[in-house]
Amino acid sequence: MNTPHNDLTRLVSDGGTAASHPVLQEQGAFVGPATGSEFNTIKAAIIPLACWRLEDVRFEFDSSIVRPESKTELKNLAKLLDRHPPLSKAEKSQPPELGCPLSVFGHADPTGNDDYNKQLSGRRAKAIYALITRRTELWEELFSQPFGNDKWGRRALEMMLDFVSSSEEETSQKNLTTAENGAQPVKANQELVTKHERDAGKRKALFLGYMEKLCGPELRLRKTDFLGHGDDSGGKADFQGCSEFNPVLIFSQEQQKKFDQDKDKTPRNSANASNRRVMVLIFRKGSRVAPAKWPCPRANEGVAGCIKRFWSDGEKRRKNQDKEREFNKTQDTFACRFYDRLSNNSPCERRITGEHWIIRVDKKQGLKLEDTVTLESKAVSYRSKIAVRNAVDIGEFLDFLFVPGPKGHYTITLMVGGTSYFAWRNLHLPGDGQGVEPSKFDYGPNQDHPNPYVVSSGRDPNAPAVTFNLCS
Amino acid sequence: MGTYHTVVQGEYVSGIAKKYGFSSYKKIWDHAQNAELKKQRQNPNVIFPGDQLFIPDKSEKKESRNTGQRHQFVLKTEKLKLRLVLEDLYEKPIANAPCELRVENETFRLTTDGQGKIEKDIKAGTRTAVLTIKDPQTPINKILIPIKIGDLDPVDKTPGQKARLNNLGYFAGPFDGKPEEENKALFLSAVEEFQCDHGLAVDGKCGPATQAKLKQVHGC
Repeated sequence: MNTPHNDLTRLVSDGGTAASHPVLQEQGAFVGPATGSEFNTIKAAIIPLACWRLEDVRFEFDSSIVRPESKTELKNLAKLLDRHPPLSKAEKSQPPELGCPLSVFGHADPTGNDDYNKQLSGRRAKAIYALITRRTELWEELFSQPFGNDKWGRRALEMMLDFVSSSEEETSQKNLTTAENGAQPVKANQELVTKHERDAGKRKALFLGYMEKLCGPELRLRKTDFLGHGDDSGGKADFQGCSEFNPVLIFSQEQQKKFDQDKDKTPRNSANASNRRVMVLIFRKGSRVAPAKWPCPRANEGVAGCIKRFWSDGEKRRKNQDKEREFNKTQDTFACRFYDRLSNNSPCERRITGEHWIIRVDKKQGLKLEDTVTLESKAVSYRSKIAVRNAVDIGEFLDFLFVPGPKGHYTITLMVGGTSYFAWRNLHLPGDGQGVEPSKFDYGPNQDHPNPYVVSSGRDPNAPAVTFNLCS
Repeated sequence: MGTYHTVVQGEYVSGIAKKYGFSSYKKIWDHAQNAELKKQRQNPNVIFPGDQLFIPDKSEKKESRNTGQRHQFVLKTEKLKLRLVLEDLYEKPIANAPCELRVENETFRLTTDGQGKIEKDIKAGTRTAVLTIKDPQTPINKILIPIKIGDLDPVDKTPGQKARLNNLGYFAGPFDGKPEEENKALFLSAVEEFQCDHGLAVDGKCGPATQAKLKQVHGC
């Protein structure tokens, strides 16, 4: 059955995805009372709220050089951060809030060995981290310390010079040409490239200019916007490479054999592309990790720390089996249990199945990010509250996606600026066979007053909106 | 003569004792006919639905006093507490933080001590509470944490393991009435993560060593 609504929670572009994680239902604590010295420990958990994924196509092949087309995905990252603001944005709000910290995870495909891939995936994560924080000194490290096939050199400088000096239109034209006939982008003045190759100061300026043009002024983060707060000089907890330990796709034994025998590795590399990705996870507001306690090793360290966090059957998960396996379907392709737990609910890593109830609200009334819509049924103990910041913005309306609960009578309330409004009483959810009847809506006292909110409900986002009056 | 009481979800001995008119859980828990159960469960506050608890007859207590004088009789009731230790990510206690604890219908303002501990005397039979932490430095600031007192099962039962893992921040699955199978992978990963963090053999099996550690770290 076609469930297009799931796509509304994700912004998908050619080079990546940006999405909010499904909102978890409130978990309570089950405790035992104490007649002696017993106690119950309640500990905060590390919970990602949102994710952003950048595909391999946005990097130069086998390299950490970030391509100009990433501009699109970076715009989507900025949108995502509007919804889940990091510290640098959140502290500006009234009253100031704590931020949602980020952490960057680079992934490689299973070709090559674990150690090589650990370094390469780490370099990609580092490149993205440096890009959004404008830390040109980290790009300088990548530039001056090539690794394997990841050699920045002249081609990186040419690409950046070209992009920085071109206009918007020219750039997209050029990209089109490149895509069409696989030709190299127009070469910048070779003398200029050499100048930048020799002069670190010039290079730094170029990196910065390139970063600015890619990200725009909106997307500029600080060290403290990340999970480790930049406390560790190696970026521990801020960015890391997962080597080839967490592929989203593992070939079948047969496929692998064919690819291994084929002298031309292009088909294999192409089939593996989805594995070579960079993921950014955005965590619950106020989360902060002491780098020393974060299980992931630094980007430039070896794999020992990763292996400590493998599933007990991690090696089995990594092996080619008789069928091809996709994380999306089997959820058993990640060897690292720690990363698996973090990303299991990520719409960037897999399609989250499950249908949603859509409660649609008119934006014209100026709902703020912290206003909420609550779907509740006391009779069947269902209660779910979603803030505007987690709603899906579809232009004129905001769609609040609720996981359907059991059969029963439901109420929808809106909390706008501290005042609570009933939107609907005695609502029946789909599958109940009772439908949604206008006659069951609760109308407020001012029926001739223009209705302030337009709300529709159901599984079909194209369903006609229903107007009603709010009564407090 | 006495009678047997079959434990249901949410009950604990102190609450049961009160129900049957006993001022102390000890009269029941220390009774010879509960010796087996006591040995098995150890903690009178963490018993399991289906457990058979022997309730002895109330005995008469005779006290002699002179007539013509005033005498004061004080009923000693066993103190029952709700004791919580609050921690941030990676074992950092949420120390000296103001909290609001609503126990059934009353609200109390408390502050955690240097180890993140708060405690409150509660009436036997209390079942629900809601905790709100007011420490802006932690991610669980301002979040309402519903608390179900008595719903914690013994650590040798899967729901008891799940509840402790959840409390400790290793989300092991929701208590939503759905069959255990649905969230099996999640439970397994939570057990392994706990084992990994606490220096135990990582095998996903919540055996005696893991259970003991879980009980120790969780507090009961």
